[in-house]
Amino acid sequence: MANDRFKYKLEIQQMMFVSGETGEPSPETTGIIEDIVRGQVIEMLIQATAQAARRGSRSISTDDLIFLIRHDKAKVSRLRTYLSWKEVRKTAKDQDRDVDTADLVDDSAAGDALKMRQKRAKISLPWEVASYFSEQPPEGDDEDDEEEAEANVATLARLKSADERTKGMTKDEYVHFSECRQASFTFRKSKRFREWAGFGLVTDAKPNDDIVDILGFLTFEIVQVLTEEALRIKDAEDKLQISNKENDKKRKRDRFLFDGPGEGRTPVEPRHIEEAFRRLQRPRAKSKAMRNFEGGGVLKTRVGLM
Amino acid sequence: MSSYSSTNLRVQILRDERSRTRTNSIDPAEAEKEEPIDPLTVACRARYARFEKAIAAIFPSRRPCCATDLTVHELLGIEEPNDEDENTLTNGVGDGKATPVVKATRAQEDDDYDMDEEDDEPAAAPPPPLPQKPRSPIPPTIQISSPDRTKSPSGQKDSATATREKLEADKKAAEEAARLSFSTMFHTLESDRDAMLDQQKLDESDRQVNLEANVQGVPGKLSNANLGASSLTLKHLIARIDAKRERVAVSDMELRNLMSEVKKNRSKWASEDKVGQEELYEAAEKVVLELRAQTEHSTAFLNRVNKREAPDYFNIIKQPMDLGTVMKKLKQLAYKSKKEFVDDLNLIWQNCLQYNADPKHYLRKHAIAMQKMTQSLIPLIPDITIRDRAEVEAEENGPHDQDADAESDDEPIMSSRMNRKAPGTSKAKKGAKPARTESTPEAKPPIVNIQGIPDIKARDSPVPAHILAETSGLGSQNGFGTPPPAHTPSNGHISQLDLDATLEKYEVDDDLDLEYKTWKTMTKKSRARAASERHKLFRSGKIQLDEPALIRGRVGMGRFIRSELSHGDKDAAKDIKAPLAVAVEEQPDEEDEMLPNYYKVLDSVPELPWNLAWLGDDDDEIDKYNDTLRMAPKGIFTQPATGLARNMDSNMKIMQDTRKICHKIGVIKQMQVQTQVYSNQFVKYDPAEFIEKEPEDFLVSEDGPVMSGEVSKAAFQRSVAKIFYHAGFEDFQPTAFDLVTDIAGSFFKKMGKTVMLYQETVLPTGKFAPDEILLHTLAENGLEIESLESYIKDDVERLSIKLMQLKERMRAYLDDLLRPTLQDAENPEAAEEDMRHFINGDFTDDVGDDYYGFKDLGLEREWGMSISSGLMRVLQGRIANSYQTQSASNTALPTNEYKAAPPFDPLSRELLKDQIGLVQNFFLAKLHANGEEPLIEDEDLPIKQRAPKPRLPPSGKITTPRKRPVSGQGGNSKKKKRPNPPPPVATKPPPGGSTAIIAPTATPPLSEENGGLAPKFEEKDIDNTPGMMSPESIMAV
Repeated sequence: MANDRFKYKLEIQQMMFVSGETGEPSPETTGIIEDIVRGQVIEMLIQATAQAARRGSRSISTDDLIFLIRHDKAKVSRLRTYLSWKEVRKTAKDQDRDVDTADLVDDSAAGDALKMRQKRAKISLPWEVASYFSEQPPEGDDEDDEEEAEANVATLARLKSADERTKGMTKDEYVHFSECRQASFTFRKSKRFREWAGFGLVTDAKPNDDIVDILGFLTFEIVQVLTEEALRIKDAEDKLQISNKENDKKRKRDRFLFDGPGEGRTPVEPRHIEEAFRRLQRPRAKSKAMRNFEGGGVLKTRVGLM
Repeated sequence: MSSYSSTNLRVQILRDERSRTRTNSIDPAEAEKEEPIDPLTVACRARYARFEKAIAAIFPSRRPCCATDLTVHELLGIEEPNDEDENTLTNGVGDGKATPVVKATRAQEDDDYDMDEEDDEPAAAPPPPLPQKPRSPIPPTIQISSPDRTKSPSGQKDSATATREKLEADKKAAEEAARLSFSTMFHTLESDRDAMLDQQKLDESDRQVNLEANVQGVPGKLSNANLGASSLTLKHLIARIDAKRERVAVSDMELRNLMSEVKKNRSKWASEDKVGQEELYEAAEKVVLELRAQTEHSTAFLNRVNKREAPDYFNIIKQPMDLGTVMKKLKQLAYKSKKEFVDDLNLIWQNCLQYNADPKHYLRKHAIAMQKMTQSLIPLIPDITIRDRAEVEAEENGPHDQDADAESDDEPIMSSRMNRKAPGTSKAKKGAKPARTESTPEAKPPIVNIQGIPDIKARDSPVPAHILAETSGLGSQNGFGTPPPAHTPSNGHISQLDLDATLEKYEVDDDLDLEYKTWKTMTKKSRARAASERHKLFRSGKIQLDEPALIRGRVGMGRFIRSELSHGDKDAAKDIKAPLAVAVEEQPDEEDEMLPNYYKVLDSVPELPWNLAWLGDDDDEIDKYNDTLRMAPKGIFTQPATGLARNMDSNMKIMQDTRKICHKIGVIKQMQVQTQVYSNQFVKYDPAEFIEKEPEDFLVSEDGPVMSGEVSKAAFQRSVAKIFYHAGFEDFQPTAFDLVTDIAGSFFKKMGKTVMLYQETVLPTGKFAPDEILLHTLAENGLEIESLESYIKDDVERLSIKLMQLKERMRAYLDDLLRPTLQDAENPEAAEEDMRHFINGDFTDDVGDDYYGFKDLGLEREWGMSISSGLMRVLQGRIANSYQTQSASNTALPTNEYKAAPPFDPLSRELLKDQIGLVQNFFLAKLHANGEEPLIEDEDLPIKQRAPKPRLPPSGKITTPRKRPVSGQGGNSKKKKRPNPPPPVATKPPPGGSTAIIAPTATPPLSEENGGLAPKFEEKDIDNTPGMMSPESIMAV
């Protein structure tokens, strides 16, 4: 597939690798994933734009995007962490510049303190408790991050599994892995991403940096979810095939001395991705509850956000 | 209603029992004989009793006498019918075998209602001891009960009278028998409408006849009218009436009726000149009335045929006749003999049969029925030919039986005083005899015999009937029958054939339910009345509101109480008051009694039982009775204060409190920015606590859920509103709110439906358990336990923690804003002192007004400070704020290190020497002007002498000469870290503009409030305050 259409083959491969796919997925697979991701991005943009319009704004804000995934608390929490760290990084950069120019003596101490304070500057969302009231009290230190801690459980689990995987890696492998982890649809290729997702068609062509970043974060998540689901499917399929083989051709299973090396794990194939997508798109009971007893035709035909 | 009728049925049973014993006592031999003989009867009786009990069980009654210990199920269990049993039952009823119980009931009915009648029974026509359900049109009972009569007739003359009597008696007996069985039947109301319409037509026809009669005989002389013997005794009265005839607004007929009333023995037909007229007409009128009363059939014959209805009628029928015309003719005394009258009657039916030649025509049936009826009635008319008295007298000179004749004049045969023995008008009968015999042969169509159907022959063949007539009550009616009159000979043939065919059918029809028929005729009038009353209320298909209310009359009350008494209700008996007691004793008229109870709804509605009673005193206050109407329990439409609801409530309370704090913060911020504050600028924000209101007290009479759509919806809306508030909305648009309510309502409906569905579903393994149902329902409706749980955990419980934290922070923030005030408040006298330096007199206190609305804000209470001082502190805060922003360089300095400068000594001549030379002259002049007294600082001056306050432009911006230094300092403000230059403490305050420079030094910096760090004011000397005020005063310069 030397087709120009797919621009993120490498990134997707990397992301899949991070998500647990060890084999090398075919271009068809990455192509399908890319299409799915693009569809998701466009859908998100459309919905966010509609949301912004409801707010009376013509351009979407980060809040509009986050609003779309508000029910996934873990994801929102991760996103917030991501954004707050992004903020930290940005200010740290400024600070670095300052510090560089100014005094280098108390760099470490002051910088640390600064970072800590900056980190506190949480991303607040408009549907949080604080927005119930007309006055905003100054930020206090006593913020209880219980919720965050809980929401981080998923992140931690993910980190842990990544840790498990990297435990046995050699240095090179680990470097490769960590490189792969940095794969992004958007990082340092904002323009490509905007073109790819058709920003100009769906919403304003020059969105906020944050929005592109959030989308980068979300696209990574989408690929991850898809891959994980596809892997699960493939596992089940493999198990089934093995048991079938056992039943059907006992002899084939036997390995002989001069057999070639066993096939390693086969990569995820497009059909697995499709099945994963189908499963993830299955309408939830919630969305059809109001149609109970009332008939009604086809359920929602829009793409469900992942 | 239903329960009442059941009680009535119960009554019957009770009576039953009593009467059975009674009948036994009357005729023990018979009863004993009967019971062992017929096992079927016993079985049926048992069955009957069981059914009765079943009814009582189905409609339970509170009354002890009617109570049953059987349950419906028990009964049903017992009732498992085996077919044989069923058959015997139906057969038994059909054969009249099953009737003993019923019969006993009838006897008892009599006992209850018509005492006197029963007393008469043995003497007159005693109802059969074992009346059977009559299967033939004429109840066979008559045959049993009248043996003495059947045997009597030996001569023609006697037989005629006897026949007549017998007919009467038969009729009466039939009625009697029927009446007895009425109570065992359930009548429907379906024929009431017909009855009503018929009755209306009848009345109309009556009116018409009267009218016509009157029109013809325009008020004639009363003396001319035949008033019979009465004219002799009432001669003068009549003369008088005649004289004033035009002033008497009654018709002749009515007058005549009146006269006959007055003279008891005489009928209105009585005439002195005409012999036999009275008898003939009396009887004839009765016949016509009777015929007319057969409203089921007679309707078509009441009035003349209208040409519009049947255009060709008069082409076919040359001699139209109808009952109305007959009546008219009677009133005009147009008949001379029985034959003429009978001919006229027959002419009516014959005309009908002739005109409506189609054998299927519905009128034919009526005509034939009427014809039959006529034939049965005709024997009642004495066969008299009216003659002039003179003629008779002349004749009578010869024969000897004058006396009898003369007597007969005074003896109306068919008068209501029947029990008087009519000796019979031998002469008239004799005269009539040939006429009859003449007519019969001619009317006899031979076809009947040819047909040879035995039963028809028995009824219709006249010749044998002649003989039969004496022995069987049946035949007699045909014996006198004058079938087709001579003038329709051609048609007679055919019609007779038809008649036979239809008769048969008709008979069968009748046979089905003679009792019913009798009942119908007997109660026709009352039913018609009842129906028309009902009709009035529901005219044109809806309830007529303007109709007078239905009221239970006296008679009705009597009936009601009697039926109550029959339950042995002692209380009811006690309660009866005197006038009512009379009513109870009163016997209602018979016909009314014939109607079943459900015709008299008002009289039948029992006392409102149990919990429906409306016991009120005069003020219409309802007494609450324990088990009657009672107040609905509280809390049906409110949220129970448990679990989640309580959590949410407390969350909302916190939100409200926080909002209040927010409001205060907002106000204070506003005040710090604005220089002028208006008394009504800040609307008081004091949201009321959420308390769910109960609906107004209302009464319920039954257990079970209270259903009220509107209230439920309102309650639901309230819940939705609460959830809205809980989600952070302070207020919302009603449309959004309605929409959400509707959606939620529909969602809950679906939940309910799903629950129902699962409840009703039966799996092969059994039904769903309740918790399974619940889980399924939740899943079907898109709810997972986890999501619910996370809602409770995150959106309610954690929310409350968050809210608490936020509230604390908000409060701390408010504290910060109010800090300066609080500081001063710790030292009230000093603060007060300071205030007086600032303004002379506490105007707010004087006014006594909550001038700035602090009371409203609740600040006063909160911080325990007086209004005025509070005001000042806040203002100070503002000034300090504004000052700080202007000289921000001060802020970062920890101020407590520096001791506040001592107050300046008042400038006097001695001190002046230390001042720089430039100002010495200026101050010298001032001192001189001040009379060598020490100069007072500007801020220490009494308020009147002070320079006026600076005027502010509407923008609120303070533009003063001090602008320049501020802008000079402005560059510094950005660098917070930069240490401030130490204030020139030692500098003596120069007057005028120079003070500006000094002021900052004297003013303790008010900390960086915006940074959220609590300023440290504790060590600050209050003496500084005057210095702080200086900018104000300076601005004036």
